[in-house]
Amino acid sequence: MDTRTDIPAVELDGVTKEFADFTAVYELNLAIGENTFFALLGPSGCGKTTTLRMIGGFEDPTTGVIRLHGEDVTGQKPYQRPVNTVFQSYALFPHLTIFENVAFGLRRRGVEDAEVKRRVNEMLELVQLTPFIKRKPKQLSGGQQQRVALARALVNHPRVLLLDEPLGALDLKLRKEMQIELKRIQQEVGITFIHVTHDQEEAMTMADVIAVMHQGRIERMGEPTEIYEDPRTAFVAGFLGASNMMSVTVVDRGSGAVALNGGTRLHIDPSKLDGGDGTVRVGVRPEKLRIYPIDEVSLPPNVLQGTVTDASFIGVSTHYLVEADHIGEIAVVAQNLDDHHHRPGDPVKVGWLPQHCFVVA
Amino acid sequence: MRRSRSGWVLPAYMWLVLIYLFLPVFVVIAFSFNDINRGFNVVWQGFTIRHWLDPFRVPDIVESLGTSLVIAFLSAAVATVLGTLIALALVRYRFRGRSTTNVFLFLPMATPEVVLGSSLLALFITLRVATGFWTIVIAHILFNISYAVVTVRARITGFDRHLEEAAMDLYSDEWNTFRRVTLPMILPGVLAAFMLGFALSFDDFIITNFNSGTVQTWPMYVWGASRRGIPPQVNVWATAIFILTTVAMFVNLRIQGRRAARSADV
Ligand SMILES: Nc1ncnc2c1ncn2[C@@H]1O[C@H](COP(=O)(O)OP(=O)(O)O)[C@@H](O)[C@H]1O
Ligand SMILES: [Mg+2]
Repeated sequence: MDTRTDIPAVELDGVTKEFADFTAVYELNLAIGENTFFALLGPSGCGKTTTLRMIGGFEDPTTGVIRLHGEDVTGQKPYQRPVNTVFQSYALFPHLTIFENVAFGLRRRGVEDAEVKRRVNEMLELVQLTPFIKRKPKQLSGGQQQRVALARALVNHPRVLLLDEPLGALDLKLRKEMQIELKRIQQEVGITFIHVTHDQEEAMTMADVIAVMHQGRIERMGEPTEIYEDPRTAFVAGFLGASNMMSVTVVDRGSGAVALNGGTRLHIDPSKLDGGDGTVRVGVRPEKLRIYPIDEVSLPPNVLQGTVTDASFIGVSTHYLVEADHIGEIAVVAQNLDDHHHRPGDPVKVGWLPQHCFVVA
Repeated sequence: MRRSRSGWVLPAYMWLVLIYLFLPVFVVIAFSFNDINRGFNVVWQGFTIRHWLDPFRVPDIVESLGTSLVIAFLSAAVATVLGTLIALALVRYRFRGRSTTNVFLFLPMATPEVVLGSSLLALFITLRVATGFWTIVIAHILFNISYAVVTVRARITGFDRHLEEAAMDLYSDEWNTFRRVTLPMILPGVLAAFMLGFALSFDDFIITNFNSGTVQTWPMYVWGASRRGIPPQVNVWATAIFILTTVAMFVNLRIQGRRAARSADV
């Protein structure tokens, strides 16, 4: 999916946010395309909420410019911006009914009564809350409140919807359901969603584009598969899932040949080596590795020898830990395709393809 | 057995406390029906509803009551508005002088009324302000503000700030946000502050006495009359006020009870 149109829906240009003694967001440059489900992913405290609040107008950037559809909105009040927010705490008005909560924005903009009624009812139908319009927020479950918050924002037809960990307070099952639901709604209404989360699975499930944030900076941005397969930094590699990291010395840049400490030759995609010279760190994800009996002869280009130290069978797959020479413990996730079950103590070979290696800075 | 012994002790104790609390009130009520014309209304002379049929007989009572009600309304209203704004500022903003403000707000509550009243009088004299109706109002606003701040602040603390941001997000400017979200949320506290201020002002005697000039409030009238003999109309009015507030309280309890029952019924 091509998310780059001429004018991005949201654009941050050198945005920095300093609090009294702390820089929460540092020199952020970001362009988010029209109709994109965009996930801002990162650990707690990395500056996601602050970034979102600057887009919504609840914080002013210390320096930098924020544009919405090309228009400079820096310094504008929240009520002047064509964006709406779903707050993590939902922030439903406790003194108003569900209907009036959802109608709130339309009424403030002077939409006439019949139109308010039509749009609110339509929106409550979309989030399947029609039977509850007369209730107060307190009388709804967490998942229902969450959907009211969503309806209250969406009914205004914002051009960008901001969501700050909207599923954080829900239990696992409901969270999974709402992930699918949110994605469906985004596709249905066709507007840009900026979804803040610290859950990498949630981000990868829902987003068209993910930006991984770390200590106030965006370390990597791209489509989920792209940044998962080629994370580029150790932090991103670790945050998006497990990986086995090794230090190698470049032997031949042209062919992508590298050597481990003990001299073992490995091969990686030479295009990933650009810039890196001397010693580089490479990684490979556990599910990319295959585990073979020690006497196996048809092997992929990259092979290590080792001893199984742990094997846990979890149904769909088996997770192995293998103590390999010169590297230490490596994790292998093996699909349960055949009956090669290896036990702790078994000598094994572990192999993978060159293109499955990534290089980190 | 334990239960049978405490079975009568607790109710008996409760009744004793209630009698202790309400005996004076019942005396006041009973003597509004006492059949006397002048002098001290302390010895039972027989039952009559004469005084109830003629509550306006003593002009001073009516006038001082009116003065007290107006002062109570004015001072409670002003103090509630100012107190609400101060409470909002204290909870929401970190500003220089915030903790000092906190201390100064506590002072009128902690200072003995005699001290407060006399120093206010000294201030008015220094400023060459003639004491009277408006100095009473000012004095009452002064002590009412403290109570208003404390009452409203209790309500604002524990109020989700994101509610106001949500309102702003939904196209409400600052004023609309206050009117549509902040005020409705803190309204119970604001009303409580007003009622508390009204009651405190209405029965204040000491501070008023220092700053009243020639104006006579209801407590001052009663105090003055007590030396000549309090007219039974005072009992009539006092009883009426007591009944009115009691009824208002029960109505309020009923409404809140029904509201709680309704929101519990999911
Ligand atoms: N109003 C504030 N004053 C001072 N520091 C703040 C303020 N808001 C956020 N921070 C700090 O900025 C950092 C980023 O916060 P936040 O954007 O909320 O992170 P995230 O949403 O990624 O968990 C945190 O270290 C937080 O303590
Ligand atoms: Mg956050």
